[in-house]
Parts: sequence; structure tokens; C-alpha cells
Amino acid sequence: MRVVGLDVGSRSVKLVVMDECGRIVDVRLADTTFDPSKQCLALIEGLKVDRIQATGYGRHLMGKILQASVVPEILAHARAVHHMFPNAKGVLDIGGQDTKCIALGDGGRVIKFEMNDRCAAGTGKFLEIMAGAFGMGIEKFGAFALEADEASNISSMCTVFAESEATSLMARGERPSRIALGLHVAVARRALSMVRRVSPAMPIAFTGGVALNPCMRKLLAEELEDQILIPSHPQLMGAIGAALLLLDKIASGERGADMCSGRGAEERGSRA
Amino acid sequence: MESHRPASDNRVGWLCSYTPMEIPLALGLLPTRMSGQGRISGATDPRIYHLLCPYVRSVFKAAAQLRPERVVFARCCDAMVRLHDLWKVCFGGKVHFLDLPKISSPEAVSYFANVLRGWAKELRDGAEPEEEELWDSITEMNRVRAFFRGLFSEVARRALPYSWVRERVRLWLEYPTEGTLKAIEEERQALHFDGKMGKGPGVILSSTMLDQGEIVSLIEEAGLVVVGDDECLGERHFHMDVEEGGDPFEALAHRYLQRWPCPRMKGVGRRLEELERILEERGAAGVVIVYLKFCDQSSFDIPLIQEKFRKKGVPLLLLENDYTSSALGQMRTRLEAFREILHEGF
Repeated sequence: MRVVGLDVGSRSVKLVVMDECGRIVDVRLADTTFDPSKQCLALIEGLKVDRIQATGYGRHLMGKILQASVVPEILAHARAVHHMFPNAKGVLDIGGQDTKCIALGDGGRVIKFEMNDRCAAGTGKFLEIMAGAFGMGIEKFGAFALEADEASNISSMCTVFAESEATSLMARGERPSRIALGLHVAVARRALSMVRRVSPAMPIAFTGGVALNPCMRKLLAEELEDQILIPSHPQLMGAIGAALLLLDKIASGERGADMCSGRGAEERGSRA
Repeated sequence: MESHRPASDNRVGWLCSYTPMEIPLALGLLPTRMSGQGRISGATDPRIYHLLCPYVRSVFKAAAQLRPERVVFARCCDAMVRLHDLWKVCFGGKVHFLDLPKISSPEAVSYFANVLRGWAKELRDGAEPEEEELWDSITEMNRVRAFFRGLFSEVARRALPYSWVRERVRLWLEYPTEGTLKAIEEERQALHFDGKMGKGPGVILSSTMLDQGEIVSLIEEAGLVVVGDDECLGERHFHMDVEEGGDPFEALAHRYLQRWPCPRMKGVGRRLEELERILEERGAAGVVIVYLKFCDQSSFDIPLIQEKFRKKGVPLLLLENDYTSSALGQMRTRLEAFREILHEGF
């Protein structure tokens, strides 16, 4: 049996194919663009799978098109984190459009969560727009910020105002890497304030595309005293969780509690 | 009420649930609730600050196209007072204002009774209304309140979807005639509800003005069953009858100031008691608060409500409503995750 976890995010679509033992057998990625259904269908083309479960913002859209079940991304991330880090007590997920903090209870159950809304401040989109203002791709922005010896003070988290603030600092001759580091510090500060409000026990896992950013990893690890766990492919956690939850559903409904005695952490991550 | 049915240009627009509909109805006028159509759309009006209450802004926006000849405002919050000021400048017409107390002491009741007496005289161009007309109207409204309480009790028993009842409340508040009520009664009798909503975790919905049916739909679509509410135009609006006898204005003032209070009344204690009561009576598993953005009065209560329910171990979800559709996707995600938390019995 093969199942698909499909995470239709605001910026990218992530697809994970999993066998019945929870092993990842295929991964596919694409930009979401303004036509997410076309992108998803292109990703799925040629795959031979039994069931699909969608998560992310486009889950209901793709659920209808693909006749797939759906699951909210909060649960998907929680499930994937518990699968890979059974000792994790929380999740900080910073994606393209939103930030979520989730407190986990026994067995990885979601006991509390918080999620930003409306505004892209403090999310991957914010960093992407700022990277654009520096004339570089988002994949290089974190490393560039880490070149700085100290951070400029960025007081605004609004994407529009922060860009103006960065422009003003550049005009005053401030070193660009310091400004970049200041922007990362501002994002980290905002995420940490959410972590404090939800107050999960430690350690917590850092997931979502922003967890690929080395500067964000470093800043959060420093603030959380290294009590942060980072999967090797943090951007896939939503899709992995969707697939695992689908396997759980199939196992509990169709074949009893455990389909595969060897099922476990296929893809462990590492501490930051 | 059919006998009082006025011509359509005889409407009295109202905004606050503390406005006694009995008075305009007694005078042959049609009190119609102004909803602002539940959405702020298009460009922000330069005359109204964009950080003001979204409900107030939506009403102001809608009023530019369609507004009643008479409008009554109440001193329920600063935003509403500002809307009253703007209304007079921008739209004119016959604008009334009710100086609504924040407490319910005997002195406050007497004061509010005099305010209502003055309003009734204004509506009748200076003449005293007949007591008999008022008592007829009060009796009718007590009957209407009992009718809607009956519908909400069906919601509590999961025999009717909350969204269905809220939509009928909205229709009646916009056009409160005997015909509307009869149509709702007939529709209810003809409704053979299939009971699909009966399975999910029960929640109490707490809010102030919640005009967006789409938010209620999101809650239900997420698999949650609203079994009770604490909302301006929900159960609170129909709570308690006017005691018949004595001075009608005193009786009205007493009912309106003594009923299940809204956040603009002083203190949160009584409101918390009512929330706890319905939570326990109806076996609700959690509370969903839909907070009206920029509403200081209700937001001051939220930490107290959160603390109370946190201590009791009742899960609570806080959603922010700004009368736009920008966050509906995120709301859906939160509601679905909240449903799972409740489903697992946390």
C-alpha cells in the first residue's frame, strides 16, 4: 500500500509518498503559484497510490478535486513531529504565510496551539520579501545574515514598514548583513513571543520552510537554550504528518492498531 | 403586531441590543436592526477611522446606500457614540440617542426609564404614548422572546442547527412583523432535520456582534456543534421577559438592565456565571470566542474568561473577527484543529 500526504501551502506544494510502514518512498515539490490545483495535479501525475490526504491552505480545494481526505496542518505537524521526535513537547512551525506554536501532550496529542492570521509579518513571506529587497534569493538570506558581527535594530514587524526601515538604514550606511541579521532577530522575537504564550514544555521541534534558514535556526536555538529539534527536511513535515495520519486512520479502521511492527522514525532530524 | 404594521418608510433603525423594540412597535413604527450586511468591502471611507469597530464601520458604509428615516443609537461604547456624531453630520434624518447606564441599580433603572419615556415622546413628536399601546407591544414582545427562547432550547438539545436559528433571528430583527414570525414558525414545523449535526463536540459561542453567517458556518463545517451562545443578538437578546404591571417604562428599563448582560455593562461576573451555566447545562466541551476586532470592552473581558475556563480545564479557542474575509482560511484551520482537541477529550 502507498499513501500520499499532500501539503498545499501558501508558497509551495509538498508531496510525500509513504509505504504502509511509514517509509518515505518519494518526495515531490513545486511552487504553489496562483493555480495550486494545476501544480498539485502535475505533482501527482504518474504516481500509483492507494489513498491521498491533503493538508495546508489548499487542502479543501484539493480534497474535492482528488477525492482525498483532509486534515488541518496543525495536526499534521504535530503527528510528524511526534513520529520523528517522540520526546518533543511542542512544535514551532514557521511557514510561508503563517506561524504556529503547538503544545503536545502524551502520545503527541495537540493540547494547545496558537496561530497568527491575516498578516505575513514574522513568516517566511516576510523574510522572502526582505531577501528580495537585498537582491538575493531566500535560500541565501540566512547565511548572509550570519556574516554580521551584530544586528541592526529593526523595530517594525510589518513587512511594508520593515522594508522602509531597512532602506533607511542602508541610506545611513549601515552594513547590509547587520540589517539582514536585524530582520531575522525581529522574526525570531515574534515567534518566541508566541512560544512563550503557548508555553510548551521543552524540547520543541522547529518545522516549516523557515527552519531551513540557518540564521533562524541559530537565533532560536540560542534563545531556547538548544532545546530545539530540527528535522532534516522541516518543510516536508506537514505532508509527512498528513500521510502518517492517513496510515493511522487506515490502521485503526481497517487492520487494527499497528500495520507494521517496524514502523518508526524513518527520517530522524537533529538538534540544532 | 400585524395591526401595527407600518409603511416601509416608517422604519426606525437600531444597532444595540439594549434598544427596546417595544417602544417603536407600540407607536406603529417598524424597528429594524442595521447590520451593515456583515462585511466591510471596498475602499475605506475617509470619514471613519479604520481602527474603529468593524461593525460600526460596516453600518456606516451600508448606510450610504440604504438607511431608515429614523435611527436610534445607544451609549454602548465610544465607537457607537462616534457613529452617532458622524451620522448626524453625514446623513441627517431623525437621529435619536439613548443614554444607556452601565449598571443595573434601582437608580439606574429609574434613570433609564426616563430616557425611554423621552425617546417615546420624540418618536411621537412630543406627545405622550398611550400606556395601553405600550403594554400590548410588551406582551407581544414577551411572546416573541419566548418563541425564540424555544428555538434556542432546541439548539441546546441539538435538535436544530445553530446557524438555522441565527439566520431566522436575523430575518426577524430586520423585519419584525407577525408575518415574519409566522413564516419562521411554519418553516420550523415543516423542517425535518436529519440530525447530521448531532455527533460533533458541543461548544458555546461567545461574541458581541456576529453578523457573518460564514463564521458560524465555518464552526459547523469544522464538525463543532454550537449548543448555546453568549452573543448580542443570540440568547442574550431574548433573555428574560418584561414583567407586566406598573409603569411600562420602568418595567422595560428593569428588563433591559437586568437581563444577561453584554460586555459593555460593568463587570464580567454575571456574564461569566451565565456562560458557566450554559456550558454545564448543555454539556459543552469547549468555548469559541469570536472577538470583534478593536472592541475594547469585550477584549478586556477575554483574559478573565480565559483564566476562568483554564482553571476549569475547559478548552477555549479565540478567533478575531474584523468583518472581512481575509482570515477565513486560518479560522477554518484553527477550528478543525480545535475540534480534534475536543474530540480527543482534552
